[in-house]
Amino acid sequence: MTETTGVRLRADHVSIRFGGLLALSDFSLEIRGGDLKGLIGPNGAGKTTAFNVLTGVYRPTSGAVVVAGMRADGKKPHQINRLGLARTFQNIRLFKELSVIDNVKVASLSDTHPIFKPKALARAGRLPGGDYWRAALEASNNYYDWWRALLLSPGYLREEREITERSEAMLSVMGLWHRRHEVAKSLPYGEQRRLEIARALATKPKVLLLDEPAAGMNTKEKADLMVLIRELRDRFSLGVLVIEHDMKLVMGICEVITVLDHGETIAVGTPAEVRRDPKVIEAYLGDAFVEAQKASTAKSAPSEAMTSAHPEMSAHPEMSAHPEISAHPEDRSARPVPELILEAKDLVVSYGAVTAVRGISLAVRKGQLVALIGGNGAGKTSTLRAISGMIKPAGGSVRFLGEDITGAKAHVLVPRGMAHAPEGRGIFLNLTVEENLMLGAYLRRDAAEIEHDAERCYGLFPILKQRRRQVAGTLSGGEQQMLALSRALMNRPRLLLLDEPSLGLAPQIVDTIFEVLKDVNASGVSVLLVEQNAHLALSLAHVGYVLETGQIVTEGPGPTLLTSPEIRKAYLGES
Amino acid sequence: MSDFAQHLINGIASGTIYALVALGYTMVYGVLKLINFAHGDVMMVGCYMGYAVAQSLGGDDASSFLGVLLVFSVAMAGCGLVGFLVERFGYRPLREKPRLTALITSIGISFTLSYGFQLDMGFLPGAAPRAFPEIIRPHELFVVGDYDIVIWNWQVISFAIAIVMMLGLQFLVYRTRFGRAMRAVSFDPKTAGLMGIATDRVISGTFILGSSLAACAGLLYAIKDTAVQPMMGLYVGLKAFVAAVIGGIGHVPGAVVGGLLLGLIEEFVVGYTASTWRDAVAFGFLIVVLLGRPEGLFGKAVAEKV
Amino acid sequence: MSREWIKGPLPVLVVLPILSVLTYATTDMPFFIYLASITGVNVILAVSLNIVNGITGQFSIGHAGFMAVGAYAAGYFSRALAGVQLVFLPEVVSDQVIFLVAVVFGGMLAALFGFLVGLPSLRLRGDYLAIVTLGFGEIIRVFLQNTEALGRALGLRGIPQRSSLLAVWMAAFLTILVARRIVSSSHGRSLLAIREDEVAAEAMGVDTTGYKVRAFVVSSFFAGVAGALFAHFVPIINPSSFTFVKSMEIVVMIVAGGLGSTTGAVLTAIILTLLPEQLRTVLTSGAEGTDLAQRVDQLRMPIYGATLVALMLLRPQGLFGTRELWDLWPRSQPKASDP
Repeated sequence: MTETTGVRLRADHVSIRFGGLLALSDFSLEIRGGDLKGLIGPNGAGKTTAFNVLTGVYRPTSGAVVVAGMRADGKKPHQINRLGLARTFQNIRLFKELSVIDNVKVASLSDTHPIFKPKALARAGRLPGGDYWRAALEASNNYYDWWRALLLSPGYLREEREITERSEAMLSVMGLWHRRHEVAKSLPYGEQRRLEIARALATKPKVLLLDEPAAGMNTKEKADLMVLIRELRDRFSLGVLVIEHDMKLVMGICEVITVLDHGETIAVGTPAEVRRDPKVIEAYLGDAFVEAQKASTAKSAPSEAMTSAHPEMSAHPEMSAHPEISAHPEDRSARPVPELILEAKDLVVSYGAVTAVRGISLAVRKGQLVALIGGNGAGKTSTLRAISGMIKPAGGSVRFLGEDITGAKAHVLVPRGMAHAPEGRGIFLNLTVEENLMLGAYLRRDAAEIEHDAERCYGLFPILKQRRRQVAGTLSGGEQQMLALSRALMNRPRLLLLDEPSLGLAPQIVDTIFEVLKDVNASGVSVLLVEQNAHLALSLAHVGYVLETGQIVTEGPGPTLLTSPEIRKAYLGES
Repeated sequence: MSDFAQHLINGIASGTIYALVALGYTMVYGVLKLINFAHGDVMMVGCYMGYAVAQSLGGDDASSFLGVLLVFSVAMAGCGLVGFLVERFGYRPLREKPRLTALITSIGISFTLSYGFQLDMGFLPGAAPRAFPEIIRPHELFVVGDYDIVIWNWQVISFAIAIVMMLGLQFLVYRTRFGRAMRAVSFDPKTAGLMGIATDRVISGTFILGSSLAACAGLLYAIKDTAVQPMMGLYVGLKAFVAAVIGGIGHVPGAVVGGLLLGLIEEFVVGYTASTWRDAVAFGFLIVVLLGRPEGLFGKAVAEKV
Repeated sequence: MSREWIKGPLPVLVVLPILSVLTYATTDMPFFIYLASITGVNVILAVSLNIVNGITGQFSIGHAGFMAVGAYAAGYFSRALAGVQLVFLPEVVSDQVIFLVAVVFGGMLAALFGFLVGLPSLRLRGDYLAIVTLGFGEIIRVFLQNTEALGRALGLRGIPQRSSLLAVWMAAFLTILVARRIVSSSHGRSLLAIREDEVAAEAMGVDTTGYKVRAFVVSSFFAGVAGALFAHFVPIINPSSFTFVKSMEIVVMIVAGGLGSTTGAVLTAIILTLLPEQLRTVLTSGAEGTDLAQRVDQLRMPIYGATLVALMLLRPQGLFGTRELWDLWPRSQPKASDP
């Protein structure tokens, strides 16, 4: 029983630095047998990096990883796996062309039958030039194992049978037994996810790491998955660590949750504690959101869960603090409805077996700023990509300035007045600031006007002017975001698509950028803004759409949405 | 000492040629992440075009400024066209397929061209080397002692042409709109599309550019060797590829440095041992570099995203 | 259970007598023997290269280099011991024993080279491996051309002609058997996993570098064996037999057969060896045939090249994809209880 209670995985003040970026700092974690813990955080918080450090894909800059009592940092991934740590991947990485059972069999490694026992290896290691002797003996061991397979020795055949039996048993547990001879890539998405878990379990892990196991699943599949994860934990007495964007799932199954933001651990606690933690809400929904909701709860209802809809919300006092925003709905009722710039109908986006966007319809009118908000993996970025032509939608239609542009390529839409500042800013880090800016005006031929626009951008963000000859790779994150916005403006767009301009930036810089964005919008450019920071986006937006698992769950005037309970639900998985 | 100086001169002369060809490999790798094995053979085709023009101008009598200009421009234009066709019909249909398919295709194209040109039917020239007309009539520009050190006029001219080409490329890549687009595509083709850049056209342009440069280099090589033959592309191409890898594939100045380095090392090894070792030098050097610094001298190591 | 040990050698015990009879029946058909031997050598080469390129998903294009190592090593060994007779054996048997040792020696040396080339370069990205193997092949060739003891460009002559139909096809059969058993073993599954997704394989506990090197070693061993056999039935071996044209020929065979399919490799190796030979025979019998026959020879390489391109554009999976002939008779799976 000591096995189940002892610490099986421990990360001890682990930090990792890529170039100048501290991707993970001072990360500590303990997983014991029977634990079910969660690791959450907004995009780019360092969750997958943490997994990669634990599993040996990256070597930590400082700190230690201990698996089953053995130092694991610095070991290779396959060695760490053998110590008892198995994982799944964010974007399913099955052995696609192999059969289902072979996928599991690969992981069901049999024990090797060394001719030279560990003692002999150690002895060889002590000889002069010991490393080479040792390596030679290890190689002999490996080749000896091949011989057994080639000669079909009885012992080998017995092992093969055992592997087959074990793998089939594993598939039965996961409900995939009847599919065992099918090719892995032909399985439906949900079963591929399950197969990946089966494969990880076949390595007989002591701790299982699940990287977004529910990504791309529908609600029913997610519910099943929650049950399954618990079941597996109990059946194999595992320690489980889950990264997941779906808050409902994480909050539903995890006993302890670690929250990362910018690589730092900002909270550790039970789901209820984490959900109430102001720092967490701030990281997910934006700093002002906390106050806004506090104000709203104090006024409207004493209950902490805001489940009932509040019809009076649009007249909420919080809005009087933003007169320029509350004015908008009135504007609209007074004037005729402005012309339609962009209209998406029943948009569907799929990546292979995964459906990221499931029939979204939205509209952007002239002069409007429309916000698309929702948690990680809700389908916001995919929607933008399908609109700007970066990917072909699998269904539905897009109309831009009255024309059907469904499936048109990106470079065709640029001259028509669409500019898309993509996720991750999309700065060409190998080009100078000025060159990046000029690429924004790539299709324009009016040199004098381009020069004028560039000067205007430099006026908006003077720091860019100072750095115009510098290679963009040397810019800070905030400067890169400024450059991304400026570059998009260089196209003189009718419609500006912005993907998470606040991601990973300090609050002052976010303020600067949103200040500019407000001005740009006021000057007549329609904006479709994707944001995780709900408060920021909605306080500016004329119209907001809230996305959850690829569907619009609610929509309405921005400030109204701000206080809607749907938002907390979408972000923090409350029900 | 005079030996050393002569080897230095010869090494630089052949190094510049490798560098020019290497630029094509590096640029194509930059935009497509593909090792274009057929690059050297496209170069060879360009050389034969130059050869045909020189012959029709009267063979050795074509030695005039205008003649040289004509030979070079026709070969470069024609070779650009071949490069364009190879990309359009060989690689573009495979853009979304696994990388290995395009690699195998390029090997296939390479073999079709280099062995196809060895046939002697129709316009194909046959396997035997053809004497390349002396479009630059050779004479010594500079002689030290009793022919201890010789610098030929064609060495200077070809060095000058190569330098002009490299400076031109440098200008094109770093100072023009197309060059900006090219660098943008090589960094991130998806985002480049968002700028309004038609990536397919930029890729075509890159192939045309690289192939023209190769044709130019090939002609210089033919002048140096006074011959053209179907297998020249394969060998010059491979060495230029090695030069590109040594410099860090995808890195433009790296290709130039790699080319020069390779030219010099090859010349010195051959000069102090035997010419039969020539073909092993490049690969030996390559293996040494890859062991010590797999990303090349100037390349950056990239970790795969998991 | 007690008779399980027979499973290992059983196929050999079945095939050995068949091949022996065939060899005996065709002793006075020298051209057939030559043709069959060449075909057999190519089968060995194709099947062994397929272990690296098809099953493990790496891309080596220097297979002829390993063949050359095996050919020269075994040839030199045999020639040096040409006059030696093992005292306790009759001459024929003694010759064959020495021949066997020579072949294994050739294979082992090639395997050693495979290890030396593979260890560093398999840590590199895929397309670099291609260029390193190509470079290795060229270095070997240049080395042979410059080494006095190995006859320089003229080649090595005077190697005793000890090969036989039996020897070549037994070796080919063993190669196929090994390839098949590897694929269906846990080692083979690890290799396939590396082909499918290296990162995932590593995360599932597969020592990817180690496995890649081992696949490379096994593959080069058989290339060396093919070379060793080759050296014992052609009158002379010289570096021009092992240029990268030869490497490409083998690559074309496995790509056309379907990367990853041993069946495909065997069939295309046979077809692509016999077809040009047959065409040549047919043509040389005609009136102006010799000229035509030469043309066919010339056309071979451009056609190989064009075939590669056409295959990649139209049918990248080759003839067989990754399927095998023996998939038609699936082995009975050990029973597991239905849940």
